[in-house]
Amino acid sequence: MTAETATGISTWDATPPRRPGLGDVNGAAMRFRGEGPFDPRRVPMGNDQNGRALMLLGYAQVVRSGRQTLSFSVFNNDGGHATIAGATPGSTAPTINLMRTPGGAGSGDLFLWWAANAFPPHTVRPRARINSNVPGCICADWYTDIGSGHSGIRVVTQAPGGAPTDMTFTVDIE
Amino acid sequence: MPAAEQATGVSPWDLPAPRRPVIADFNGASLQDDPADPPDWTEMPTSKNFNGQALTLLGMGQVIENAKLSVVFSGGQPVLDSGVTTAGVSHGTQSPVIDGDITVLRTVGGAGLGDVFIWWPAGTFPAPTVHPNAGINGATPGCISADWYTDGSGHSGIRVVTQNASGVATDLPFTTDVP
Repeated sequence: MTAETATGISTWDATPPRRPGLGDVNGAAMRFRGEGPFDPRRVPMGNDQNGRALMLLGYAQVVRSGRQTLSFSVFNNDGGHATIAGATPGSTAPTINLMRTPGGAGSGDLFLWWAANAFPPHTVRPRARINSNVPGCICADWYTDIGSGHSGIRVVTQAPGGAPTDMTFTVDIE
Repeated sequence: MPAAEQATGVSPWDLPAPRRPVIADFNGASLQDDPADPPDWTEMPTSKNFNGQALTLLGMGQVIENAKLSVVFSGGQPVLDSGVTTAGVSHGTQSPVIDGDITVLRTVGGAGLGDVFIWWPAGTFPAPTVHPNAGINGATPGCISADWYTDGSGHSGIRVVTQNASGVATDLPFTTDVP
């Protein structure tokens, strides 16, 4: 490696956001200068440093880019009583917008979307779970609203038996 | 402090026998500052900084998923849609997903519809920690369960069963983790 490639920032805060690669840890190829013996009690050794860099890279490939919990009592299409709480690895959480899915089932059919490049590219598909003392059925997937061009996640919830029903849920943005 | 370096220099997920990290991977996480010339913490990392990083990574390494896998149906059959793994970041290695180590098929002797078995060669991932967690994708909600499973051929992996909201066995796309 001829020059430092690490950026000194979280790759979730890069423009555009991305998951880290070897370049972000300067190749994970640290070695110690042969002419200068070091005290291993005081100085971290190369395999320790490189191993922890690679572990961090591995974790970062599978960690969620975001996790959003949506709860509401009465939902209307202007976002009335819905609330969203979330967490992301980046230092600033992207704004998550919410609407009923255009052309969808109405109740229990929601579309969460955000600005392009708010998160790194997708890895696997999103997973959602119901948060309630009343069980139900749920699914989630990547979705682009043709009308507006917004991209995000569509989450559909139903009561057992299949009746569309608004339910509180948490969804992972992968 | 170990007499010699114990850390391997690679991710433990990329070792010939993959495993989750142990404290030896960080040489004991027991670095010490030089009492005769202590580091200026405003200018350089200290032993507490380094040891804390190591122990945080060690802890995260116990709970991070080995993989996440998405399955869809194409031509009426389940296929791997996408996947991501903790493994495959060390020099000269690549993800088991890229290696083609993940096999998806209907569970032999299962319900037929909505009954999928995902397996991989032994030693692909560290030993399981908890049971897998799966969620339905697509736009049709339903019920889903996932668990560790070994089929009649001796292949081990995860069996995922899906039903529609009325409890009828139905092929539904899903994503599962490999914990």
